[in-house]
Amino acid sequence: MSILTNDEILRYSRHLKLPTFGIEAQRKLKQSKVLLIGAGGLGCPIGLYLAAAGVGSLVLVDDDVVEVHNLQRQVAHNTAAAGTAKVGSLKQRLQELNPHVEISTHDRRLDAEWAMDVVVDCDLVIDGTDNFATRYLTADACYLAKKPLVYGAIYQFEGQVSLFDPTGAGGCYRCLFPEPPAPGQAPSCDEAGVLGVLPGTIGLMMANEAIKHLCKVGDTLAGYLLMYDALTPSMRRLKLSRDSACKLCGDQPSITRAEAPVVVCAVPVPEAPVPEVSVQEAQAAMAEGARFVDVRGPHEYAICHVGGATLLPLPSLDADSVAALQRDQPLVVYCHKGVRSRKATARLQALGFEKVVSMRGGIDAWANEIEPTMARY
Amino acid sequence: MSLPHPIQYEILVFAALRDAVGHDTWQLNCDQPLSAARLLAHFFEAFPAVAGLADHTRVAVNQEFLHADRLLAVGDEIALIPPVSGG
Repeated sequence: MSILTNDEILRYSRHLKLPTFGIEAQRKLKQSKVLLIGAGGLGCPIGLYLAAAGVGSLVLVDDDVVEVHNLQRQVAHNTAAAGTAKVGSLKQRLQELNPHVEISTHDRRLDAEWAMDVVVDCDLVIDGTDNFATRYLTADACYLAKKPLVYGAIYQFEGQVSLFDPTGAGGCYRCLFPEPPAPGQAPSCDEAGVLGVLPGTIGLMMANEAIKHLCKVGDTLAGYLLMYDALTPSMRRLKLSRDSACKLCGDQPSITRAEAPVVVCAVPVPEAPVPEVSVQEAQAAMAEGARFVDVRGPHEYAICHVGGATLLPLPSLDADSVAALQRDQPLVVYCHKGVRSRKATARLQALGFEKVVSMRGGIDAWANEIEPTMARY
Repeated sequence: MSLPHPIQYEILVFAALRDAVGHDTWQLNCDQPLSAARLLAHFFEAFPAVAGLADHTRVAVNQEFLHADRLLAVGDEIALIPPVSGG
């Protein structure tokens, strides 16, 4: 049994005064090694509160670097850390917060080569990643290694939290969502935006689940999915159950190794070649009378737009909405970075527009190369 | 005299499905009670923009995840929950 030093007893005294927590729970926490995958929106608050609470050992995994647009929610990083590794920035912050915690870092993405090694070595794993590939790999490795997994994920104003305990009856992540969606079908925070406080709320719920499981205090969300909506605001707790047909934990499992998930594209998305122009070519076309069509949402148009551009959001781009456009006028279609504008260009071609091109790199490239005073986001 | 649509379901929708609906609930009128699987099929026919999530969205009824063949009652709290990946 780990012994708490007098310094630690003073530091954690408000835990020790809690009748249902006390010194036994604090010792269990000190004995625990937690693997935290992701040092971003969820990873920052989780890391801060687990370190403050006195987890004995933390292993941080992330291959990303801090960017200025992370700082609205990734609260352990600071402005000066922009451009540096997230795991290094988070480790420094946590070590300043609590020098009693042993912290190691892996400045790389979790992959199938070493997922089992790093998972087996820990008592509990926390999934704070931002992509399905790592989420499924983490879930598979945790089940196969019989390690508890604290799960949390966010979207705009909503979050999901659970704890998947391989020894419990509630099933695994794949019982809930058997296969990952195809890339691009479920938008990320980068694409869809996210309320800054949301990962704080969800991350702290996740940290709470981890602490309760490690210290054997109270009840956890094992067997339940907690859904939180920050706008309403409301919470729902949905009962989970093991699926006997689950590929991972079912009666006849087919997943017996932690491997990179194979994403089956149910709806093939053919990338039909559409005509594209550079921002310089677009500018020249404008001088010759081309009309710019902005296919982003009105909330993005409000941030910045090319002067004189017509707003026609991609979701509402149809035969009715294009009535405002003249078929003999050349069209330059743009979005934020040049993905949505390709889809919009293909749709306009299908609607009978012939003189239509997509602007490569979107308004981000325009701001970078043509109009340097324009805001970038 | 019978009503044209004797069954009206009110369905809670989440995450990217909510973006497609433009609201946090979706109403579906029909003549016969639906199974969870049929409800999902109706939803993704109505909102093809999120059809890529059709095979990945789960139905929860009265705060419990369901098998697809269960029939839904009008008073049930029905929720369509897609996977989310943000972190």
